Amino acid sequence: MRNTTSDSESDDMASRGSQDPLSQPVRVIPWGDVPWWAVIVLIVGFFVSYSMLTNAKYIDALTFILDMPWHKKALGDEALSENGDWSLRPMSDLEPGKYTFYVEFWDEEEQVVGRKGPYNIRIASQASDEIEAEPITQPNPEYLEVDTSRPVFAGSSAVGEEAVLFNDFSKRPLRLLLNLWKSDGLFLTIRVTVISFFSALILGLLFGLMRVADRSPDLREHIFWRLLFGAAVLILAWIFSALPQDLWKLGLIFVVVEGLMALLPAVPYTLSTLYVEVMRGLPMLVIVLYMGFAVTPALRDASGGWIIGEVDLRGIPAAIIGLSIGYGAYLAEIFRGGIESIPKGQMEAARSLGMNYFQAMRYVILPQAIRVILPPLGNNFIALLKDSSLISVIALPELLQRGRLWISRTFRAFEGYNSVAILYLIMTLVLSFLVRVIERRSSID
Amino acid sequence: MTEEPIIRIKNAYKSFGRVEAVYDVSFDVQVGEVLVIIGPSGGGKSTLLRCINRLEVIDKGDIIVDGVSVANPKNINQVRAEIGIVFQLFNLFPHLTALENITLAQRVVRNRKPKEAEEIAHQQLKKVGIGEKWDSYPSQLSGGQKQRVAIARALAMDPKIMLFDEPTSALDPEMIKGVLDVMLDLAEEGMTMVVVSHEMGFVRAAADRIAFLDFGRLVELTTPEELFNNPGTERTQEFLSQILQH
Ligand SMILES: Nc1ncnc2c1ncn2[C@@H]1O[C@H](COP(=O)(O)OP(=O)(O)OP(=O)(O)O)[C@@H](O)[C@H]1O
Ligand SMILES: [Mg+2]
Repeated sequence: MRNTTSDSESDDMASRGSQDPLSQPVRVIPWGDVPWWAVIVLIVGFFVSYSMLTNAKYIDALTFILDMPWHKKALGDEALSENGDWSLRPMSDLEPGKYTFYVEFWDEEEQVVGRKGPYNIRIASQASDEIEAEPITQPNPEYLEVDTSRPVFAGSSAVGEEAVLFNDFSKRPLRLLLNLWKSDGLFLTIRVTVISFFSALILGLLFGLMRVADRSPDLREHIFWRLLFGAAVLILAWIFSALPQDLWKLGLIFVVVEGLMALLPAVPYTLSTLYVEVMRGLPMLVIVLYMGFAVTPALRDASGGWIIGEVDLRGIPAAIIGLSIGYGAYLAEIFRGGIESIPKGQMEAARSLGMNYFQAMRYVILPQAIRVILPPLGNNFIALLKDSSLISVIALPELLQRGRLWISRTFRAFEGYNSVAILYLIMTLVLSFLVRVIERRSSID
Repeated sequence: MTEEPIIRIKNAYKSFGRVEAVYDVSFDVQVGEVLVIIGPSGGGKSTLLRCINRLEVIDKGDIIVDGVSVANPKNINQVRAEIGIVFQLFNLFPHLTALENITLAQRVVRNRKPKEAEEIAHQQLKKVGIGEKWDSYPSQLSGGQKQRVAIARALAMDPKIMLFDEPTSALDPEMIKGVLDVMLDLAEEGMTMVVVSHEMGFVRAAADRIAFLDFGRLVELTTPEELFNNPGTERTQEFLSQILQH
């Protein structure tokens, strides 16, 4: 019997009765072996499928939130001609290529009252004129490669507003994957989460290692750090304010910095502690807003005259930077805890064999620490996935934002937020199941 | 002896806060010599040993190993690779097999090819008498086997000096003999050894000289005959009578 202490175990324990194997009672519930999460999935699944089957709006909400790349894409201004055919003026950023789509006609209640098509169009590379969409009732050899035999549901919204088209990826799976990765909604959430997590991992490892560094090292050995730090402060001071004639001020700053450095013997430790404490002390929402609306716009404005040109990190990069530096601090603490959980003798044994500090870390300490670190890393990945919903405040069309967009169009808050919640739940439940598997693996030996 | 001593300790001091773990200790160790350090718990034996390969840095004085000052080394890793150390609690790497434990430093520090390192590892494991255990993880080995892997790991680096810090004191009685036999063989081969141990059988059989450390101070440094038959100080007498009772 396992003796780890995760909450799933306590459930198992409860359903199996007493801990003493000799006095184990006869199993009363015939399906007592069904795992707890299957019960949850069943119950949730029942309600979800019931409401979905009885309320068609869920399909609409989910397809909108998922923003599947094969679904809809605004083409441009359209006009319905008198005989029921139509033409459109493509949007300037529309990628050239062939498109196949239906047009649906909706009434006030958004019920489909008519459908035309399928249509094929080709957008040339510099298309700016009106394009006649041609119905493919008579197959045109030029468009034969486009598969339109599949049922396609794509439609336009109210007549005259927006043409929506269907992309056929059935013969180009790689293209589909690429488009999935690039699409909004669910996949923007996944993309931001994955990228942020990996950069947070790098930050966390770096600052975690700095935090386990010696706190009272021999100052002579760290003269390099002191000079580097002193020089960095000087350069910053020079960039931001001091005029050339204020050289004596620079000298003063240098003296102050060197004085401080004498008081702060361990620069890496101090720097990383500062980073961790500041970032953990700020709400993630504040960090995201700060990055999105303060730092990156200021950077863009300031960077105009730089050699590399304007640095525009607004939008998704800002969100990724915010989430990674925020989570880097949490991960740094996890790495620190993991490294410190390895007995001191391991480092000593490695060093006494002649390995240097980094070799000892790389070959001896980190491989052992990773077992301790893996489960909390997984939990932080889940937390990051949930926190990625915060980037909706800087107007990025991720999962939650798409949901809210859909709600603002349809005024159906329940269907909208239910769909958002279900999508988050599916991801987090699967992930926490994986974390539990990892936990079990690493606690076996 | 005309040769230069391989270890020369000159007025070494080391304190932890108010505790003087090593206080004004000076002695030399010659090539091929087996020096045993004895003394009461907290006497500073481990600390002195750890100062020799700079796991602890001395406060004052100097320690010169094979011509290089450990207090102020250019490249401590080179010096350390020449000094094998065996710890009381083995300190094997638990995520590696016995063989990998022995090959790791050979590859990383000595830059040996994996195949060469493995050959040497197999040789060393045979030499310490557990050649068949090469594929076991430390958790699958007994205490005595672990300590022998640790010795093999140190020996595979071709050290000039071996340091032992109470290598048998964490072992069950029936395991001790195997480890001591390995150490005796090593002493016979002419390895320079500094051993902290209270195993009187080993001390009698292998020690060239014995150092008695108390309160960080070197109280006595003589041959075993001299020490057992004619201890110089009262403190030494008292300590010897305590450990010889068993
Ligand atoms: N890292 C440390 N920090 C603080 N004090 C220490 C440290 N290492 C050793 N000491 C102290 O230094 C003194 C000498 O310790 P040391 O381990 O060298 O003794 P020892 O002779 O090896 O004892 P034992 O036979 O119990 O192993 C002891 O008083 C101990 O408490
Ligand atoms: Mg000791």
